Amino acid sequence: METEKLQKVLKNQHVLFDTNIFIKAYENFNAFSKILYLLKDCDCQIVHFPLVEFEFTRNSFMPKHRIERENFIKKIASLSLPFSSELIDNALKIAQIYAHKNIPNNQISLVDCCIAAYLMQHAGRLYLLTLNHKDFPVILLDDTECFE
Amino acid sequence: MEEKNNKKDNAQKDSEFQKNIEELKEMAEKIKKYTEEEKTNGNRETPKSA
Repeated sequence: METEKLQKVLKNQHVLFDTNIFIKAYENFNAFSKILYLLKDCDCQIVHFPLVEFEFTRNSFMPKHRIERENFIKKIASLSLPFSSELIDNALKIAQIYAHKNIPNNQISLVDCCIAAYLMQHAGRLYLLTLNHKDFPVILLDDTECFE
Repeated sequence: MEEKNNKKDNAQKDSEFQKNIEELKEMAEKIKKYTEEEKTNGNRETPKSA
């Protein structure tokens, strides 16, 4: 039932993969490919976000490894949605909301704040797939559209 | 005729998607291998830009 609801919500939408999804993608490709099939059936487009690519590639020091990771991410997420210069300002506002709610600074990274700001910029048409909900406190989200 | 063309288009899209999945699987295997190599081998190549 939950899958049907998810498919309905995601129909023709844009989806952003968090870095942890890309990590799981190579660690357990068979499980990941099921997600790709599901999104294909929903006619979703997977969005490329440069800061996710930064996180996914930053620790690979062999050039062939870094290139493989860059190509992997680009092959999966080929669509770029614009992001404005306001992104950092909005990320800062989001960080301030977290601070106001006593969420420790070290729990949520700058990249996570930028992802939240990017989602805010494209609210209603961009959905995030992540394995770590703690990085995205529900105080910012419409919990009617959160799926476990 | 239109229905036949749509079926043909869908079959082609499915085939391309399947091909992509297979390519991604190969890339995932390489990344897994390189990640293990980097964990066990500390020899770092200096980036050209450095």
